[in-house]
Amino acid sequence: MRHRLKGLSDTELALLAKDGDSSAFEEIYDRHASGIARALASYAGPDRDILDDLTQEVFFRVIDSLTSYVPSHPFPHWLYTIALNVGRNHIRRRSKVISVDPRELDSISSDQDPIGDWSEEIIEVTLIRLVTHLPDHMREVVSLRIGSGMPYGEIAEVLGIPEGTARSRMHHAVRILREKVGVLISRREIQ
Amino acid sequence: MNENIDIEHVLKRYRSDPSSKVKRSVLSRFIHTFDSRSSVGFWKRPIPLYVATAIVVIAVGLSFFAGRKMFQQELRPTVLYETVPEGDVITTQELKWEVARNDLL
Repeated sequence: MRHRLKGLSDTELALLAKDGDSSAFEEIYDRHASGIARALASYAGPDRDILDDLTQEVFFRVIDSLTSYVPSHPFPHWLYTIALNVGRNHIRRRSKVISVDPRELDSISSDQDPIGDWSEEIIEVTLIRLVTHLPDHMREVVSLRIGSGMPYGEIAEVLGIPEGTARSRMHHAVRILREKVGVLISRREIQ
Repeated sequence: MNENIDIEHVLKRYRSDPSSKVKRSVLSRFIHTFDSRSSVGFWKRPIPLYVATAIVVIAVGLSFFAGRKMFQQELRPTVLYETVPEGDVITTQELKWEVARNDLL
């Protein structure tokens, strides 16, 4: 049953799910849950519990509004638009800003080797935390890029901006992240 | 070191699989939501024309026969009352005769 669904596009699956096909919806979940969580990490940071809650909220919203989905746009565009809205709402709701303090990083990497040997996981977590501090217009491009892997043309379509603007925002975001990572590494070297 | 990091690649590699609890919860919500909708849909589904026609015909038929029976029961005593002198006691045979005579007249 599930094997048959593997060959279908996201939009075809969404139309089946819209008719109540739970196997089609499960296939959609399996394809996108991880990407949605990664996109949401741009807003919420790497906290697994929060990411679980937000991912669940995204899919709950999808279920609640699935009957209104029309395939005029690819399903992933619709799905990630919902994810961005959930991420933005989370930003509004949260009272405490996630801090990027080198001492906080110490607690994460207490059993790690010196800076030059930061594990991939520590680098990923550090970068995700830094992404949460980007300006909104950059963060949403980064979120879509790392979550869905959409090409810039599709990201531009989802956000309603020119493709060049999407590329430019991603370029600036990466530059800022590179600088911030450099600062954090320098601080650790001083310590 | 930072200059060597492919930022986008590292971010895309970030492992973010939601827990199995989330999947269970989401699928459960899906099944519950669509089961509810299908139940509601059943009751909202239009009744086929032939079913509606059959119901109306049966209702009209039953009403007609019930009414006719009641009418007949009410009519005969009235006719008898008019044709049989007050205070007379009549037998069943006489009653039949009275009814037959009334029909002839």
